[in-house]
Amino acid sequence: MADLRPADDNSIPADERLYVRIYPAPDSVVPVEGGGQRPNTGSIKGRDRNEPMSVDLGSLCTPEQTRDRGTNGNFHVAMLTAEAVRQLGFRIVRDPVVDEPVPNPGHALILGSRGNSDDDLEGALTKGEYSKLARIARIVIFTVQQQEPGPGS
Amino acid sequence: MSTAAATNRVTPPVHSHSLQQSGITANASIPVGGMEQWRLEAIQKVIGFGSLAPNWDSYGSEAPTRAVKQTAINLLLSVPGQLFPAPLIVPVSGGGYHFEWSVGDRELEISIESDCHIDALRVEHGMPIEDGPYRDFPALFDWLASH
Repeated sequence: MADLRPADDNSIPADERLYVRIYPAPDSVVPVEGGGQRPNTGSIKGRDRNEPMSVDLGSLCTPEQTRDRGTNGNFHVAMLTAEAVRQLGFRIVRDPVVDEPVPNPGHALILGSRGNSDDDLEGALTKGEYSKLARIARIVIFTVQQQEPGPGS
Repeated sequence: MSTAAATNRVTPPVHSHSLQQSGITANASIPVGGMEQWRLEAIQKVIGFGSLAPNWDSYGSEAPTRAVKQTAINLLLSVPGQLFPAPLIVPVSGGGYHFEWSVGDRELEISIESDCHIDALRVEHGMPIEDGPYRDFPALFDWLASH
């Protein structure tokens, strides 16, 4: 097993806010004891489970920009802090998107510890790691859903 | 005119799907008579997410396919009786589903990927227990019920 992940980027400070866009299904957010809401674990999983988790750096964009970038704006936004993410053992690295139709200089990655098919570590997350991150994330933008998905919609 | 209409009259083929007046497609192979309300609503959610628009998540994902949808429905039909509350259900980027049941201090997360692979995660006191993969789903629900 080889650890192919880049080192944690310590130029990202502990108090850096990390934003995640959440699809606003009715069950996408879960109330948290003591107040507030967190995302459902399934809501923070990316399209390719072999990839690290995408986030936006709060020092380079606002949560509204995370919500709106390349979208119709009908999304929630969840927030984690770099410190809390690192305390769970994750690494965070910058991954600016510059050569795409929708650039995102604040794009970054949270690197997990799930091995690939050769058992090498490239940054994918285990199911438990997604669950841990969902539990420390908090919803900072709650968008009232414009239309609930349903048959025929 | 009426003759032509009669000539062109067709008999719908007999199969398990029929279009209702509401526009909802009913699958007669799913027994709903006597089904618990939570299960019925969960299946309706699963079916609803099958109609998500392309790029629904802004990352280029499609809606869950019919096969994924059927896998999810079969999972819901296999959940034992009336012991459990309604699960949280969300669509997952890439074309899957994610279910979460919560009973006391225990939670059970089950995900169905776009290739119909099913995986589960047990959570106790808010801490994930990564000791899968699981194949014995009745045993997982037994664990959830024995909190």
